[in-house]
Amino acid sequence: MSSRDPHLEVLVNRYLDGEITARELEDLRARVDSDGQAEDLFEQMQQIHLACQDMVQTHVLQPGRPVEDLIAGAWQGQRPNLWAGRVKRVVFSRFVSGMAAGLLIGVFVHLAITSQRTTGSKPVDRSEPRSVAVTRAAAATEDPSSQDTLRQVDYYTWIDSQGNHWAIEGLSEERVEPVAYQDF
Amino acid sequence: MEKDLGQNESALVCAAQSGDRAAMQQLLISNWTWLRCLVYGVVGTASLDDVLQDICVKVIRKVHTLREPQCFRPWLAALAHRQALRYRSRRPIATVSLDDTTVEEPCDRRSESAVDQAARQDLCQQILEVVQDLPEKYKEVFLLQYSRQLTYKEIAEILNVPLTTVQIRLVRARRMILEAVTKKSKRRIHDE
Repeated sequence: MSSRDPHLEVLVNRYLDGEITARELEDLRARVDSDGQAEDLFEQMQQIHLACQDMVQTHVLQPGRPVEDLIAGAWQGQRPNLWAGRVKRVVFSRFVSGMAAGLLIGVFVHLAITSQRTTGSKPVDRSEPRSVAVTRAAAATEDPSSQDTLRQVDYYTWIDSQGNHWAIEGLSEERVEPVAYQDF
Repeated sequence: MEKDLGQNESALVCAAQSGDRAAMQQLLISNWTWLRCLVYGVVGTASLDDVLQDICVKVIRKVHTLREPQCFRPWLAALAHRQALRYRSRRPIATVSLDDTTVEEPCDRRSESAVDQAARQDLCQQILEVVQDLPEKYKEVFLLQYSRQLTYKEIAEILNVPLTTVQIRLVRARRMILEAVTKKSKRRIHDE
């Protein structure tokens, strides 16, 4: 199957492109002379090659404006393009200064908001214990929120007269709600 | 000889970088054929001249950024390819039929009979259609080769690929064209 012989195809291609060496040319001649399929392939490729040359010449290279005109046009096109470059630079510098101004305003607003928050609310003392366990039989019937000593705790527990364990939270908002009843 | 040409081109690049307008013009003209083929492979016929002019503007404006004058061709190819792709992404490719263009026949073809001319024109049309549908990598090598200005080695340098890759792509491109043309001819005979 010499028509699909890759080596033969390479040889034919090299011949058509003028890249073939003397030795390769000898090899190609021998194969074309001895093999009918190789000869067919060679002739077909040659025909295609000529048509390709025509096609490129007529469709790619010939039509259009002469190269000198295009280059002259390009030189003339330099001036507005340089101006466009200047405009671009100005736009870019304005963009950068706008970004910087925006960043500064953002930082200022952020600082203003955070300082307002810190002055408006009381800081939490993290060193205090998170919970205080209170065991008091007398407090069972009373509202624990009335006890000032417990106002700053988030939750506390106590045991009532029946021996039930109570956990209460929300004192910091001045509300007392039994949120859980649990046997410890 | 090839080395001399390279040195000459490097000298032209240096002159163009220092603002020599004639050198720049000479540089562009000497590389024009393959440049046109390369750009055609990307944008087709539509606005080919506009894209080429844009490329010239870019070259004139950016030639001073080229550090190695001997690398002018690969640099030009990369710049042209990028510019053509940018253009293509903005506008779809328009295919042009052979009937749409008025083309002067080469002198040696004028003596051919009308039948031969018609057959050749038909084959040309078929090849044009196949080439337009070729994968990009095969199309660019094929068109650069048919610019008749470059050797395999120069194409390899321009496209920054090994020489064997150029050779293989050309073989495959021609095989695809041959197969497509043969298939079309067979179909036509079958229809008749």
